[in-house]
Amino acid sequence: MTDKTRQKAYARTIPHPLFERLIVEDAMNEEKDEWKPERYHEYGYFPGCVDFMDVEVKFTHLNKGDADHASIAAASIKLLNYADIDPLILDMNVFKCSGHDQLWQGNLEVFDSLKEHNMRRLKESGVKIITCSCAECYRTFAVDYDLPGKLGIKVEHITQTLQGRGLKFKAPENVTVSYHDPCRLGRMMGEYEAPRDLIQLVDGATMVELENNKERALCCGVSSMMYCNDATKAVRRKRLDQGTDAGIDIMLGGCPKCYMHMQCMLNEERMNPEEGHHHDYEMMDLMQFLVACLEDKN
Amino acid sequence: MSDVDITAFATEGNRDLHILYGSQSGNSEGLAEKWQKEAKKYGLKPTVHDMDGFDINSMSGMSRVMIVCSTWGEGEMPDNAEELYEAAVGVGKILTNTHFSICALGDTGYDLFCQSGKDWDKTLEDMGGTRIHDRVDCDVDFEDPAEQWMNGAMSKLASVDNEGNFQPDLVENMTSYASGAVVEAEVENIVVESAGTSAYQSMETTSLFFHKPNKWLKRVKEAVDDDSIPTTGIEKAKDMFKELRKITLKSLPQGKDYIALVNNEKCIGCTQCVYYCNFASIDMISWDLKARTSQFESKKALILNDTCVGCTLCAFACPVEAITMESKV
Repeated sequence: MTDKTRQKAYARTIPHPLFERLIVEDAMNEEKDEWKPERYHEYGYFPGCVDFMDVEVKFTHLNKGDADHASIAAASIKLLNYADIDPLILDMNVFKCSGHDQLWQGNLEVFDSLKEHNMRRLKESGVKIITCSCAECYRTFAVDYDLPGKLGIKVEHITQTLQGRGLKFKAPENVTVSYHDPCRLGRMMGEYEAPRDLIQLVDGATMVELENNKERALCCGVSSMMYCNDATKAVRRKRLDQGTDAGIDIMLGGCPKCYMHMQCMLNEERMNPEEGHHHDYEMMDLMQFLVACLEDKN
Repeated sequence: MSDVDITAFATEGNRDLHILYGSQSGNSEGLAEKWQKEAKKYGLKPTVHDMDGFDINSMSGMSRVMIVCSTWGEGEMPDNAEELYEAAVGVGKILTNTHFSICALGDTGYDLFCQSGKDWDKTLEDMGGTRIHDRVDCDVDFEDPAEQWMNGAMSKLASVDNEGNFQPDLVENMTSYASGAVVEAEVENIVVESAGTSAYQSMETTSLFFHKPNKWLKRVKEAVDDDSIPTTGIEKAKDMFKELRKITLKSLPQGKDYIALVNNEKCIGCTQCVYYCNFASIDMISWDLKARTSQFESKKALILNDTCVGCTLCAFACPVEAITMESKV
C-alpha cells in the first residue's frame, strides 16, 4: 500500500450518521416557493432536527424505549403554551436544519445553502423572536447567522424564554437532579443561570452541581457529530461518573445532542453489563423533565 | 364426517398451503420456512412466498393461506410487505374461497404493537376471506406463542377439504394424524435445525438487551400525548428514512445466503452498526494494536458468522461504507 492510499484510508473523515446524510441531501433540494404563515406570531419555535434523530434512534432497536427525541419538541411547545406564548412552529417541513454540524465539520457549501434557505424563510415568517430548544441551533442563529444584526430577530434559548414568567412545577416524586451544561449554551453563549433557575422552580426537585460545572463543565464527548469512538466515549463516561458521584436520579441537559450521546452511552452500558460500567440514573432533556413536572397536565 | 379415512383425506385432492411472510430482519422468514416443514406432517403441500413480488390476485385461487408478518418501527409494514399491502387494500372481495390465519410479530415496547399483523387480519377479512384461526400477537420472545398458534392454525387449515370447505369435526383427527407423522418427518427436522436461519435461535440472547422504558419517559410521553400539540415534521423524517432504506435495499444483495463483511481499513470503530444490528451479530474487538496509525482507531467491528442473517442494516448504517454484503459460498 502506498503512503497516499494509506493516508486516504486513515484520513480523519467525519462519519455521518444516517440522519445527517439526509439533512445534507435535503439541503441541496432548492425550494423557491414562497411561504406565508397563516397569521402573525411574535415568537417562532425552531425544533431543529430532533425528529430526524428520533427516527434514527428508533431504527436502532437497542435504543428503543429509552430515547425519545420527538418529545423534546412536543414538550417545548407545550411549555411555551403553558407560559402563554403561542409560537409559530418553524418545523422541518418548511425550514431546514440550522447547519450547525455542517459548519463545524467544515462543510461550508452545505451550510451556506441551509443558511440561505432558513434566512429567506425567517424573513417570510415575520417572527420577532426565535426560540430554540437546541443549544446548537441557538448559537448558530445568534452568532453564525447573526439574526439580531441582519434581520433584527432576537434569538433565545427556550430556557431564557421560559425564565421569569412565574411558572410553577411540581415533581411527581422527590428527585435529585443535576444539570449538564451544553457547550454551545454555556461556554459559548455564557448562559448558565436560565436553566438552573427553571430547575429551582420545580417543587420536589433538589438540584446538585456536578463536580465540573458551568465554565468548567465537561463535554458530552461528541461535539457537532464529529466523531464517536473509544476516546470520545471515555470523555462521556467521565462525565456520567460525576453524576454517580453526585448521587443524582436524573441528569438534565439543555441540548438534544447531549441527550442523544449520553443516552447512547447509558444504553450501551446496559447492553454490556459484563463490562461493569453502570450508571443508575436517567438522562433527560430539561424540557422533558419540566413537562413531566407540569402540575396541571391540561 | 368422523368416519372419513383421515389418511386419505390428508393426502388426496387439493392440499396446497400458501405461507406468506413479511420480514424485515429474517424472523418471519425463518418461521415460514420452519412451518413449511411442519405442514408436510399434515399432508399439506406448502409453498412459501416472499410478499415482495407476490401478485395479490393470485390469492383468490388459494384455499389455505397463512401469513406471518413482523412490524417495523412505528407500526409499519416491513419493506418487503409494503407494496403488497398497498395493493391488497381496496382490491375488493376476491377471497371468497380462502381460509386464512395471521401470526403477527412485534414488540410490546412500541406503542403500535403488532400493527402490521392487525392490518393484514383486517384487510384479509375485508377481502372476503374466512378467518379460520384467531390471530396471535407475539412479543420479542415469539417462539412459544408462534408454535402454539401454528399447531392450532395448521390443524384447522389441514381440515379444509378438496372443495375448500372447512370440516370442523376433523380437526382432532388431523392433530393426531400429524403427531403420528412425526416419526417420518424426523429426518427432515434435523436438517431444519442445522440449516435453519439462526434468526430465531439468537433471540434468546438478544432479548437480554431490551430495556423497558423508564418511568420518567413514560410521564413525558403521557404529558405530550396531546392532539393540540402540532407535529414538527416527523412524517417527513420517516419518509426520508424509508426512501434511503429502499435505495440501500435495492443496491445491496441480502438474505440468508449473504453475510456482512467489515473492511478493517475503513472501519473507524464508531459502533453505529452494533446499535443497528437486531441480532447482536456485531462485536467490537481490538485489531492490530501495534500497527495502528491513529490513537483513535482502537477497535473494529467484527461480524459474527453464526448469527448474521444478511439483513443489510449494518451496511445501511455504516457512515464510512466499510461494510459490504458478501455471498456465503
